[in-house]
Amino acid sequence: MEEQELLDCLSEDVSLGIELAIRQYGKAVKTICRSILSGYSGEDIEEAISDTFVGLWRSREKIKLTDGQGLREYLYGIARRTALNKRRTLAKEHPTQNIDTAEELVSGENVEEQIVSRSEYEILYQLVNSMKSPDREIFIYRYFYQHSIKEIADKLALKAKTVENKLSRGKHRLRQQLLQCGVEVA
Amino acid sequence: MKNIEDLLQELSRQDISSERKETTLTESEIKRLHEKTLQKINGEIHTKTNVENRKSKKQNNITTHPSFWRRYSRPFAAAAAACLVCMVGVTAFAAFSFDDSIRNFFNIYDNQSQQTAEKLTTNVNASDESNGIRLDLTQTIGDHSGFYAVINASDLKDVPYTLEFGSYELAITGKDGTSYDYTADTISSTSVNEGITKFPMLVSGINNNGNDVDINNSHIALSLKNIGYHNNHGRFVTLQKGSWKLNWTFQTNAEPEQINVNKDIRLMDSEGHWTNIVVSPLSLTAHYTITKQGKTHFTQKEWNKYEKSDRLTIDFTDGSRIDSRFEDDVTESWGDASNEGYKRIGFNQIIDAKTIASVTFGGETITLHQTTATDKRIRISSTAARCFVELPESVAELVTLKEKNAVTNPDFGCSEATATFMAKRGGAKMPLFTIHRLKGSFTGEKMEELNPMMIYVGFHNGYTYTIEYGECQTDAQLREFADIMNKYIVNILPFFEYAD
Repeated sequence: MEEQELLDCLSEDVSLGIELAIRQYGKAVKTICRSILSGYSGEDIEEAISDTFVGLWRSREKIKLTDGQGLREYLYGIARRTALNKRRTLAKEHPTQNIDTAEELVSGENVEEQIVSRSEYEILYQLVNSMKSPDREIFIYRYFYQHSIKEIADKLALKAKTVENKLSRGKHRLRQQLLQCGVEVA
Repeated sequence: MKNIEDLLQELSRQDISSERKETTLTESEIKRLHEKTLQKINGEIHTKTNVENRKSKKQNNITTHPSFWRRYSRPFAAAAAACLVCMVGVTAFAAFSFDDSIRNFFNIYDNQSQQTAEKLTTNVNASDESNGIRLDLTQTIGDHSGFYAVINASDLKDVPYTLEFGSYELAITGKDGTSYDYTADTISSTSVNEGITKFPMLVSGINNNGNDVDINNSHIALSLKNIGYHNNHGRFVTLQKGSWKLNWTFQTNAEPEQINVNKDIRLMDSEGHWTNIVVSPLSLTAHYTITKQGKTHFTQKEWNKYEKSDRLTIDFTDGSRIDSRFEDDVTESWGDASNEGYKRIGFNQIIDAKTIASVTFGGETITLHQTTATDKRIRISSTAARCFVELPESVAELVTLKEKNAVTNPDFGCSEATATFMAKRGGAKMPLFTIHRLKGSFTGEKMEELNPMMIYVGFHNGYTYTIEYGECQTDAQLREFADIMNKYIVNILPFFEYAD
């Protein structure tokens, strides 16, 4: 379903719109919320996911879809903010109980920054994963498997220059999308 | 700030693959999320009537507080409410099993506290039913100045919200028929267990036109209407219509101890005479008369000059302290030459009077018991945040102060100075707490919205002071600092002072 149709649906038939949004983006939203709320209960994570979709519904008339700034980016941004706020609230309520993530965190480092940083990578991964083919494959070969441009061009039967262009444009678009999600990126 | 190339390069090194593989959304999860989300949205749509109710509640001067902080409230206006079944409660001193809410609220976990609490707790049998929902008030705990009660609601639908009553009215009538003023917070649910939803309520600040009263054997009438929740816009959403009335006679076996003081004191720019203190396991009250009335309004500068004299602080034999500046449950009446004034702190745990080392009020201190604390307090001052904190020597020697000046706080969008008290021991280090000095004025409510981790400390000379407590996140931090955090840091605010 097109993003604008989904937005219209949220206004016209809220139940259907929310169901479609959950089916389309629920998995990615869950991943972001779970990443930020790592160590907290499933109920807390589910609460954050639900609050994210309530946030989407509230913003439905304010969201202006443009090239590179789609519904996905708005939603990931809402998910990130919602989960971070939830995390802060939970941490305040139980200041010494959030120890489940202890093994993952380095002693003395700023935990908040680590959580924020991890959520940024999670969003970036979701954005890369949602790219259209062959851009998605190009980015995965390039940044997950560290292939050279020539190797990628050979694998995907594309010209090296095309791969280079797609990487360049893709990075520009990713930067815009990350900014839209509230991630500070130069 | 990273650039996009750095982020992408780092992406493959991030340990998010395991998360990705596990992330699924089952049909039952989708259904649950859908229902939960729609419930919240529907709550926001169907609220108009409740907004009106809330406005009307405010107009009637019924104030609710995010914390238990209170001074006076006016008596709630009596209003008729439909009631299907109503029974007048009878009371009996209990053979105990404590309600969990009472146990948790007053931290009743040891034998001594349990024995003391038993004297203060009364079993009550006040019940009412409306639209299939039954409310039972079974226990109250209190002394002569206030009480805490728990209402159990049966057969309420389990929903993922903090439930509240759409409106409630409380009438407290003394033995002589006098209607007392009081303060009470929003009655909201704290837990659901085996179909019983618990709604605790704290009632304090009970007075008769500003005069302290003894509420033992007072008659309590509580009317409650509709159960629902407040959505993100502060609107009340009714989930269960109904109207309930609970009536009972409040009784307590508390035996407050009166200790005569007889000291001349200065309260702000007034002069007074501190007559006595009354100590119960749940509260401490300082009584006084005003002998020379000063101003009633103060400039910021005057307030800074006099404020310390207005504090009621209690030092305990173990070296801990309670300060009326930072307590939720504080009541006071100013009094005058012919009417006794008082200032009271309600405790959030059962206190044995023998553990009170001294009480300070109006700049004067009375000593009650010898302190057993051997750890003297060491002052650590921050030039950047213009404040100081007194830490026990054993903690102070672990601490290094990290200060920042004229930096921008990203949450508040304002300039701030910070003082972070970093502790290092046994190979672990962590910030115990950070004092923020934010430029401008921010309310506690705004703080909750912009950064829930921050706790409001006060407004001083154009700056809002907040505290952010550290979190033990690693095994090493827990090993080295959990005791310090729990014993000293969570109660550090009474040892905080402004330096300018």
